[in-house]
Amino acid sequence: MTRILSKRLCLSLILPILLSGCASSGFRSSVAEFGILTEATAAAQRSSLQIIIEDEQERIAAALAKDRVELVLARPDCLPPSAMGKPPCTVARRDRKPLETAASFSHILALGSSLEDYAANLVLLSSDASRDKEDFKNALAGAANSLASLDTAVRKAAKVESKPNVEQRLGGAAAIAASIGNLYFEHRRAKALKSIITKADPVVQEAAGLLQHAYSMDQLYKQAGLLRGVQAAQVEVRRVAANRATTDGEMRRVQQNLFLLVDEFNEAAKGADRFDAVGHAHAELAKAAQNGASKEDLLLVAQSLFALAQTVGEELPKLKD
Amino acid sequence: MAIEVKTLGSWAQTRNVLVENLGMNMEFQDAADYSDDPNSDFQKAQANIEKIFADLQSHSVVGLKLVDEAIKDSDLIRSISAASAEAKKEADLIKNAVKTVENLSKALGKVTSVVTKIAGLPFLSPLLG
Repeated sequence: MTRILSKRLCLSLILPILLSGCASSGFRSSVAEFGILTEATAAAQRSSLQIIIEDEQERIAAALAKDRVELVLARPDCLPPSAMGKPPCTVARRDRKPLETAASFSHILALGSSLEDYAANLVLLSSDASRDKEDFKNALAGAANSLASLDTAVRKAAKVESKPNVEQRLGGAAAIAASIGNLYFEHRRAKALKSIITKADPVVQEAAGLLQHAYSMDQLYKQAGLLRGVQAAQVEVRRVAANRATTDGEMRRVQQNLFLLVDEFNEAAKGADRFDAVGHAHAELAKAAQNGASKEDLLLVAQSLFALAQTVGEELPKLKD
Repeated sequence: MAIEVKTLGSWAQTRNVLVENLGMNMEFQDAADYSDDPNSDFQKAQANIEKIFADLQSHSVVGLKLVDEAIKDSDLIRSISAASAEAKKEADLIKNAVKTVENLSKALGKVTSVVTKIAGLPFLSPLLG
């Protein structure tokens, strides 16, 4: 009776794990893809903002020089601390106007980093972990060996006859335990991922929304810069065309340059909605997590990941596989 | 409640006005004949266009500052970091399961050597036998 009960108990514990395995692995791989794409998106924004920060520093320094601004040491900041000074010492404008400092966008960058970190940890948790599985299998085999050695030592000490094939039997049991253990870990990974993603979704949506605003502004900055170059090339075409003395070769060179710059401008305009795509993909993952990750849910997730990959410009064949 | 970027609406309006002006000046320049003369319609439009490019870039920076401020006033970074830490904790827990089995293996090894040593003690042989 006890044996039947324990068998039933074992089956009731293991069956859901076995049955959820397939959907879990689809969900896990989607989470991993989401994580990789989100990491790439956040990292791209970081380097993009860095360009604006450097441009701003340059603009402010150039304006200070052009306006011949007289700079003085601020007081009492720059007096010796031992004589009522209040360091750190700072520099101010002599005309008492506020000294412009370059924006650091530290909060946008910090939010991007935390989203990147979140994505990286989702990748870590969703990873196939084949090395972990191998390590776990080896560790259990090692434990079985140690147990067999202990069994032999105790029997020898007690002068009891050793049971035949004890090592092989324990080894076999360890292999089965390893398989169940690894299935359990898979189940646990998927369960944790679903819970974390569902809980974090409202916050991720907020973050993606704000980062999308920042990204659009960042893009506006870049496009204005690129368009300035395109427009200058167009003016050059008109200048050369207006001068009858220029050769056809010269005309062709400036025209080709304009076509080239227009292509660059168009290329830079791609992927404008990337953080919206991050938000959408996360929302689909959260929906799939709540609905038990059915095939239909995972298909929607895959579509949203495909859209995200397109905006990030990742190699699409990787996702199709 | 959704986090709002203060004055984002008026920021977008200003951006649209700048872009509209840019388009108008470009159109005006297209209609004018090319000239090097700074007082010509062509060069006047060019000066306006260059000014608008600079304005668009500084307007972008203003917008980024607004978003930066909205993030600063929110709890978002802390909330996402908490979710991130939870994922890391779970991943570590699973990884640590391997270590636990390895530790069990080591403990069994130690017990085995103790048992072997005890069994080898001559005064215990009569008791065990």
